[in-house]
Amino acid sequence: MTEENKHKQADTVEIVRDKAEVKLSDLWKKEDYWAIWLGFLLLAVGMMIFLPRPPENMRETIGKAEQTMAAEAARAPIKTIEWYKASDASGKVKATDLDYAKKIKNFLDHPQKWQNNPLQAFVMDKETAENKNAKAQPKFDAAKAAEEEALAAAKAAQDLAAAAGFQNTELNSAAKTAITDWRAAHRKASDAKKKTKAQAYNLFPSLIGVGIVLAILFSIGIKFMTGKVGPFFTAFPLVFIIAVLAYMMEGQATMKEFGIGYAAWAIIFGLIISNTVGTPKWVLPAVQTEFYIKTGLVLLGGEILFSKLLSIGLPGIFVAWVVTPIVLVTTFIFGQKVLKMPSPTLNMVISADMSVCGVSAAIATAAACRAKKEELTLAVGLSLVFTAIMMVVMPAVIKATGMDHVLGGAWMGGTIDATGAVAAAGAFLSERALYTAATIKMIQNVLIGVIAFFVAVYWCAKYECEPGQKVGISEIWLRFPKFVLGFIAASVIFSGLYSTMGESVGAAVIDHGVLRGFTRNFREWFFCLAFTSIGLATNFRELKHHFKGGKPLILYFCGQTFNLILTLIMAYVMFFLVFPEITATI
Amino acid sequence: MKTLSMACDIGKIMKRSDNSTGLVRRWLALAAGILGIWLFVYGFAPWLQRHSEPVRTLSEYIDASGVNAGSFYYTSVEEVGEADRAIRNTFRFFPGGHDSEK
Repeated sequence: MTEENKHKQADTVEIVRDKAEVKLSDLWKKEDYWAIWLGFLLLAVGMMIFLPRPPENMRETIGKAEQTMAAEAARAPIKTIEWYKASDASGKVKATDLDYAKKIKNFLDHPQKWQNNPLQAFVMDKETAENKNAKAQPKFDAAKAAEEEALAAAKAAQDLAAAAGFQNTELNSAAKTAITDWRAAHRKASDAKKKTKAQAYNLFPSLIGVGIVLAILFSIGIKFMTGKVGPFFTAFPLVFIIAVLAYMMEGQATMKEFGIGYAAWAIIFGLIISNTVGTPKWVLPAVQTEFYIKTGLVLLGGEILFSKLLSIGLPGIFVAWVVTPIVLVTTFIFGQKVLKMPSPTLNMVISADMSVCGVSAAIATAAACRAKKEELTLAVGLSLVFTAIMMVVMPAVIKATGMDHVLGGAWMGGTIDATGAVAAAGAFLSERALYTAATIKMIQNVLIGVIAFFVAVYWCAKYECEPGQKVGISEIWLRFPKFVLGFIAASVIFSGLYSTMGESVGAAVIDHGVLRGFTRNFREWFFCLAFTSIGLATNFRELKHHFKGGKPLILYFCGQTFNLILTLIMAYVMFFLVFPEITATI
Repeated sequence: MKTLSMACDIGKIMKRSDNSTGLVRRWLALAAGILGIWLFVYGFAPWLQRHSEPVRTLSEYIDASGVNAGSFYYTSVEEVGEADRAIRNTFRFFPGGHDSEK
């Protein structure tokens, strides 16, 4: 028996699969369907809260800003100061800034930033907040003064260019440079301003509230599926407390700077407990990894907005949607044929995690191909380590080589796994690098839906059958992880809604309303609970077994090297040879 | 008979002692795990920041800007929303972009 077949046989024992028959009762007895019902319940509640309460004068404000931008674009061949101000004004129109949305955010919020005293993650009194603000004020004053100075210089340069009717290339170029300097100073001042806005908080009541809400939500599904709500309720607080501690560690100042998020801490805390004192048996009813992941993924589906695909035009599509699948498929084939990875599911999760967008892609593909918990843990671990390295190394390389920031941004956006790390590395270089990197990454994020769907279909048709066996469409349907349908449906519904409303209004009430103001917070809690559960149910020995021969590391390294080369070539071809006018516009 | 009963008692005591030793070892392992985390957070990570220029520079930038570098999806990163809006406005209104209205 080959290693691969042995693995398949082992999988059959360890992984719960739908039986090859369809019953009406599946709708309320199966976890996949409950993930859909709970996910859609939250999406519907989010829509009921945000859609009837858009920002006041939203359309007028957006319309006015768009008129100014159109007029300025017609007046000058460069982005003028007025153009930027209008663009900023249109971005300030968002439902998440309204009072009711802030109350929801405060309720669902997780522990805050702290340095040495972990209690500060949960409680900060008024005096401490005022001291923090006072300490940050001089920096803000200096940044504000620098911004005003830069603005004056930009105005002077722009006036000179305007006096020449924007016909003088040199004056235009000088104005563009001065305006870019002002934007950099403006960003610094905005960042410094945020640090003067600290407010007192006490998160304990809201965290207890969130715990109760989450426990009730999942207990509904548990009640219908197993009927054992009591043990779940008894066990849930411990899993929730570990999830809260994971968030607390994410907020530790140095860890924030290293980009080590809650996913890593949840797994680490769970692993330490399960492999030392052991996960108590009474906690196991709340260790519902798949249920939390699938429900979180249905919510994630709502965040996959297909109209975002065209944000940066065709170059973005080529860098994010052509290179990524090529790298994914090539890495997977390399893992199977050359490295002879013992587990195809581990191979797929690492390939997707490395080529698409790290943790979120790993979760989605792991659920779609029914990978084991240890395999997801390993893939996430690899991604976190490489993300931390690439976030530091790539901007340094781009700076050292003098690479154009649009090219560098596209390169980082297409290759660094985590979106937060991409934004940090991009913003560190310049606004142009940030805009390109973040947009490419966002387009790549949208690819998760398509990848998860095809991986689920491919696994049902190829990997879950005996060698030589052909699987018909009805059989594929029987084996198909049904929650993926909820994931796709949420994406289609929200993409349609977003497009119908128009980009600007959709961004104000869907992206910066229902999604960022409501469902995202729940989704993050669900994933945090899932990673905690993974840690609590994982044995170090199992992890060690998967790491045998260092094959996962070799796979990730080779795949990422190929990704770096191909993305750089494609970004250069697209942004400099085929569409140079787009690069000049950014 | 009495000897047998004594032997059983001794066996139980030894088993209990083994269990408690195992328990102590497990709790010690937990404490070691927590100590490992503490050493990483307050020892290794700050040491790396002090001794590596690129790490320190980026860390200082992340601290000053407040970018959420640990987030893994675009909806959790404010800067992505800003970038999306800026790029969309650029292509919509700026000459050379994808302005369908002009």
